[in-house]
Amino acid sequence: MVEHAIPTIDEVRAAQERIAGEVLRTPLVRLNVDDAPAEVYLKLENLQPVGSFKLRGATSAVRLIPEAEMAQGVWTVSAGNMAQGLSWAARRLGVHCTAVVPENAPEAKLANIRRLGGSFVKANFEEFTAIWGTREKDGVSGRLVHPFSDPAVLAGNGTIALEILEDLPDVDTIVVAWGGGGLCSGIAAAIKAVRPQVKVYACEAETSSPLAAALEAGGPVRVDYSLSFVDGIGSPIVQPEMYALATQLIDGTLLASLEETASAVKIMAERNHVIAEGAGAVSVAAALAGRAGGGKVACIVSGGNIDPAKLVTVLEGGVPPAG
Amino acid sequence: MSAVTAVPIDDVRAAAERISDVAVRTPLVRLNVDDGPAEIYLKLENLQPSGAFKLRGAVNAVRLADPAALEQGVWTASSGNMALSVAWVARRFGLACTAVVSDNSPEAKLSVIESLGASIIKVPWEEILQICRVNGRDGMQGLFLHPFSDPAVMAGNATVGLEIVEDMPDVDTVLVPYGGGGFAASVASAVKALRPQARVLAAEVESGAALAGAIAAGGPVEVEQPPSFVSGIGSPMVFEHMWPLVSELLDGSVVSTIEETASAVKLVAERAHTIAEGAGASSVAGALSGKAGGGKIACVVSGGNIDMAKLAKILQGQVP
Repeated sequence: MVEHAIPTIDEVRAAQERIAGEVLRTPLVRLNVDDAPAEVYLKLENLQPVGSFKLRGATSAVRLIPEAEMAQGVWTVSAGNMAQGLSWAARRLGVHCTAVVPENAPEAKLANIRRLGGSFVKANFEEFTAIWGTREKDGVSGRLVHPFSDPAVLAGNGTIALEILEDLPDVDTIVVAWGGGGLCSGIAAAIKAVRPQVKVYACEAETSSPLAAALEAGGPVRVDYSLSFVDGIGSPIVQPEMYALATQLIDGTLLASLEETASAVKIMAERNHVIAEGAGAVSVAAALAGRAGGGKVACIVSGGNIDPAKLVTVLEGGVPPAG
Repeated sequence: MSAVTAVPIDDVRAAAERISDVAVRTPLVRLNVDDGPAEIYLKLENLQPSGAFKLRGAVNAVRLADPAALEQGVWTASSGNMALSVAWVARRFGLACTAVVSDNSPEAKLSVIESLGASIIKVPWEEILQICRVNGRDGMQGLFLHPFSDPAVMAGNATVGLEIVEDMPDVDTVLVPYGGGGFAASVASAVKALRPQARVLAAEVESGAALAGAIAAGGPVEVEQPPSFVSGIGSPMVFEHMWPLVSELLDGSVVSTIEETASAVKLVAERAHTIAEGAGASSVAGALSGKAGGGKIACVVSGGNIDMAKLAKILQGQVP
């Protein structure tokens, strides 16, 4: 049985208490671009200790696991950032973490999992995405912390929305990368409970946009996708429970091209001195293209784990290759 | 100029209130290195809208100034970050601004200063130093914001120290990049008032370690200043009017090599996902070297205004 309840605002507030002192309360800074089509703000989740927002959901979930179950360890299935987030949260509690990762996961992310004391098992991309639904992997045991549809993970992600509202109470629009959908849904659930007039857009890379296709078709459909340097998001199909959340919570989807995304990474580096990975920059790319409209637009910079060589390519004005 | 004195903590608190709607209250984040000699934290002043802490002092000074004194605008003299920050603040408050900059300032900084609407006057570095010594320049109009020894600028900059102690009350050591000395003295004023047992160390680079030279000699002496990519700090000699204060407030100077500083820029990019300029990373380089000791060390990442081409070199393991 798959859980797909929308987290309540009380659950998000409880998650906020569980993770307080463990995760960074990240700053919301104005993007220093004068001629942007909106007042664009950056929620800098790339500054989290493991370089992405995933720490919030992981900590929120791990802290709910009963003591007796902890000894068996935890595992997740993730492109890298959740693996790091969970490894970090597990290590704080003295628990082992295993990550099932896709075979194209960048070396920077794998090195970080090792550094955090976690271990990993590779799966080809089809199997990897299938595990999001089957929730099983031969040879891996312990408690699964699902990277996006675990309710405690969603509630942890929702804490980002509470912080944005504290810092920018009159925010008009929030743009969030859509990978598995957990970040976007968690934020939308919290924001709609507190300030329903705020628009929440999911953002995908053009090269892999299953949510846009699902909303168009009226249900999850398989899409063509190609691997790219935007490796933290993108999948062949939206999971049914996440599609259900999206239709209830979000105001639409936006697309960003690879060129726009690379350019957004470069602009953030030059103007704001922050390093975003591709997935962390699609929201900014869409906002800079005017697709999120005007007013005050908060973009979630979801992570900063980009290979230095790819960052160099971006800084030199290029679009890095996949893998 | 007469000798500069410590910033009273009440002035720092008042400045914190005064600048709170303009300056970013920057985070203090742990640097993820498991094998470091200390628990290293980064105070990310590179996230300020102007890319450097100097915004704090400039906002405080403009807000404290008599409106009549601002009618002809503001001006400053600096190698880059103060000029950039004053230009940013001037635009924010609708003031005219002139930046007197050294003729070897990085293009990245100069183009941003111009895009903010400020007029630029390029002079040799020696003239910048002279303006800082005599507190003015013939023929200039408007209010002069001294880059480091103006009391209002110092009070604004000292809020960095206030925030560090707020976020980490048990901090053992604070490392502050040493340029003119005003910033290090300002941060030290606040830290020592709130946590007297904490040490405050200057971070310098071998290309212009004026404070280390002065400490060794018992007073300001000329030091060598070979060229390097670290443009925000480094000077040939400690300013006479700063020496009494910095020698009293600072617990020493940690000098890093240019290679160590470049390596710190790379590490901060890879592990903390943020961009420090050379001066901003000098504090991190100092902490990583072990010369600042163990315990909890807060490193002020003073700015992030580095040419992208230089950053690209550093990310590839080179020294620009």
